[in-house]
Amino acid sequence: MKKNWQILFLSIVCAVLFAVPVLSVFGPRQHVSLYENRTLASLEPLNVQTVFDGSFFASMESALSDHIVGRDNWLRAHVRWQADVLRKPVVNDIVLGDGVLVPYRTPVYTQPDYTDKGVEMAGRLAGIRDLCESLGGQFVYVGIPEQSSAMRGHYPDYLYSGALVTDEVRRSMAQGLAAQGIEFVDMVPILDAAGVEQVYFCGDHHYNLRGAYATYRAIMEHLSGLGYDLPVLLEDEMEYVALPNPVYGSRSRQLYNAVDVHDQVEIYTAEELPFERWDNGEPVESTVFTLPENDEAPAAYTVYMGGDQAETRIDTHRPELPKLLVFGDSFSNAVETFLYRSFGEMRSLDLRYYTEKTLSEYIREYRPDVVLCIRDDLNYLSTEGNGDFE
Amino acid sequence: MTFSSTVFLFLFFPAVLAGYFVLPQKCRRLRNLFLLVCSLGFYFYGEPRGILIMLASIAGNYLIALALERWPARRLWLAVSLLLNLGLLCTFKYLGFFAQNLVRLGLPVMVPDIVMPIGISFFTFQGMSYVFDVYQGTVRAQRNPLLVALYISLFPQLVAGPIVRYETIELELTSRRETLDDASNGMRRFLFGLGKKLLLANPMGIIATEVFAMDAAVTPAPVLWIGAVAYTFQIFFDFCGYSDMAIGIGHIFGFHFLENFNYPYISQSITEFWRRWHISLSGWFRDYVYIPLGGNRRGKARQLLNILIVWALTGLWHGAAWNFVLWGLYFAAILIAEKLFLGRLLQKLWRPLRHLYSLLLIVIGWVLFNAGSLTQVVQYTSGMFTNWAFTAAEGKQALYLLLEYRFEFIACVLLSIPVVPWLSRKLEGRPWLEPARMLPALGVFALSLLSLVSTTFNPFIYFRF
Repeated sequence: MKKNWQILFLSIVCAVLFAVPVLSVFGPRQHVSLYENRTLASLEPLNVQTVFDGSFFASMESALSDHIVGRDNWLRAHVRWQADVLRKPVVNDIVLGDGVLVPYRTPVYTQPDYTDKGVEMAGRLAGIRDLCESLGGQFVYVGIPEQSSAMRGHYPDYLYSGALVTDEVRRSMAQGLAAQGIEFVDMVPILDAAGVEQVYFCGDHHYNLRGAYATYRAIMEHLSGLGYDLPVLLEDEMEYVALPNPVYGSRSRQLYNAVDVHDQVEIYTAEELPFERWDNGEPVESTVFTLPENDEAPAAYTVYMGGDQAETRIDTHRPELPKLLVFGDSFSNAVETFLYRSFGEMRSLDLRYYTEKTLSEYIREYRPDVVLCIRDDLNYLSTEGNGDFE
Repeated sequence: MTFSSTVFLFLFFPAVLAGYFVLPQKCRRLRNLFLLVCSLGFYFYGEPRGILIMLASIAGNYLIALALERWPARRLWLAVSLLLNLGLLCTFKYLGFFAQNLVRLGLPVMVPDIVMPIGISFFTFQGMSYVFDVYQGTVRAQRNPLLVALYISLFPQLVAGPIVRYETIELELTSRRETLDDASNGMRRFLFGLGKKLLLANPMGIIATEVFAMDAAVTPAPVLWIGAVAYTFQIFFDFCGYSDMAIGIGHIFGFHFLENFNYPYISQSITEFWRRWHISLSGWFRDYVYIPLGGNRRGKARQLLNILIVWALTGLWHGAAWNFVLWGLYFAAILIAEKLFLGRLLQKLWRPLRHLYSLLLIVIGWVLFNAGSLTQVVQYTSGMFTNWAFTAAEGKQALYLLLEYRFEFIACVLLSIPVVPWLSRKLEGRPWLEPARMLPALGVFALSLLSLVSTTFNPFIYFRF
């Protein structure tokens, strides 16, 4: 009897050890991980150099891990095991909380002081502001709270929400901008008043289309206060349309969509406004929404403006209206779907990807009437990407 | 290649199992040759350039052992062996450290940029033990170089131990029998070792890594304690898990390595702890350093000096850095104190207090071991005792860590005490014992695979030695 059990046990283990590699090698191949938003690893070419520098063997490990049979199911099962069985409050660095997914943050025990960094960043922005004004334009800085910063109340009591650092970042940035006299649209109180649960995704680090619309209206009101008379898309002139597609938010993807969150990607319909669009100099379809192929395909924040683009240009052929330049991180994408309707031409730059000219060169050449810098509060003080103007 | 990697589990291990057991049991030489080729391949995979160093070590120790038996100048050959093995260790592990210290002293020395071959501390110690045993006449020099190569490079114990004595497997190299019992027990042992590593050591490592990266000067004491305890569990389950896997794989192929751990955290003194922790290393230093230095046969003062030397070397063996030396001397000081007076005092203490004493010193020892610098040692250890003034908000991280890893902590505590052997004794003879032993192993296997595929945090601490 004992012998039979031993044979059965060894057979099961060996079956797994032998079947997994065989099925992994000969089974269906995936080249991109939708959840992780990356290309899956492949083997380095086999030659003397890659063998002796160890890169071939290192690639074997990552390639086999990435292409293991049923990988997505393993990943989802692991999340479910931790979330549903072990009931861990944090899985894959995501705080499961109360239906809102926010990132886990390591606590900070000393009060940070970013005054100097705020002064430095505001000084750099003042340089851009001075350039715009010298060309007859207006510079406005728009600050958006990132989802976990806006929804900090959704962290369980025993977890650090990052508020200590974010509040100091916000304070030092606002102080720096005020000292430089830079026009500042602070979306923190506005989005708070709108109800953060209504204007943010639960499983993504961005605001949703309603949050973007609130931002659009705040920008337009601010520009109106500065003397601009621009057409504004009013809420009763548009209709929100929810896409039926499953939502792949940045945070829910980190959990391989194994934890349910109630998100929907919305677009809007409004009176048609003809325009032409170019991405990175190439003409593209005249739309600000890139819809999924069908109702089952995943939808994400990249629906807005087709995701991050180095340079986008939209011409509405209304030369009587001012020209707009927007630069900033992905938070600018959703708000751009509204902004283009209020300007004759809108251009947007994402300095993380745009390398052709410096921002100053671009402004000198384009001579925009309005320049908007849209950044989220986690990145206010970052001097990389859209904080690197040179 | 680590045992807890997909390449090992799903390519190397099944290939070795298939190749080895396809060869007829009668063809022992062929099976040995196959194991040797696989072992060299295993090392080559992780250290393509380092394999020549290991082969040089094998060849040198093989020839020196033969010379020891053949020619009369035995002390000379022993010296040559020391020169070879310690020369390799010093060159590849300690040269950079020595040079850095000379630079700190203001000497114009170039600091060489040398990559330490994985497992050099283990394979040189095995080579040295083989030569020492031949010198002492405990074993005969092996004429077949392939068997010496197999003994030193046998992949289960090659890169992270246990340090196997030649005499332990001398017979098994040529005349072992692979049995169903051994294969089944070995596989079960391997799976539990894999589980210890992936399901316990890795989560504990996540805590330890996070807490040790914090500024210990301002981190609340409870968080520092949780970090220290987590590292205490991490290093145990990491190393013990690896030893279990090594011993388990050995069983499958008919080798019986000696145990490397014996529930060290139930010790009632530090002397006892070092009889239960990394037994193969403690035994090595006892037999090849402490006793040849005179052990306890040359008076108290010399014995204490010998302890000090052995522990300074033990510290250095673990790493070329001052915190490892400090760690070794820390234990030397405690062991000396226990020899002189503390041991007698401890005997009079209530037993739970003896456990508490040992655990406290062990945990602090691991803080010394894991600290990145002497400054961190001071800040972390002092913070553990002084950072008790904190707000409720600051202290809540401790609550989170306990909540997040509650099951892992409970499992770590239960598996640090001999619950499983106790259960096995209680259930001995029951007809359902065999399936009852298999099912948990399969469950641990399934969870380990889930964890392996899903997580990227998978370091082996003892690979750096």
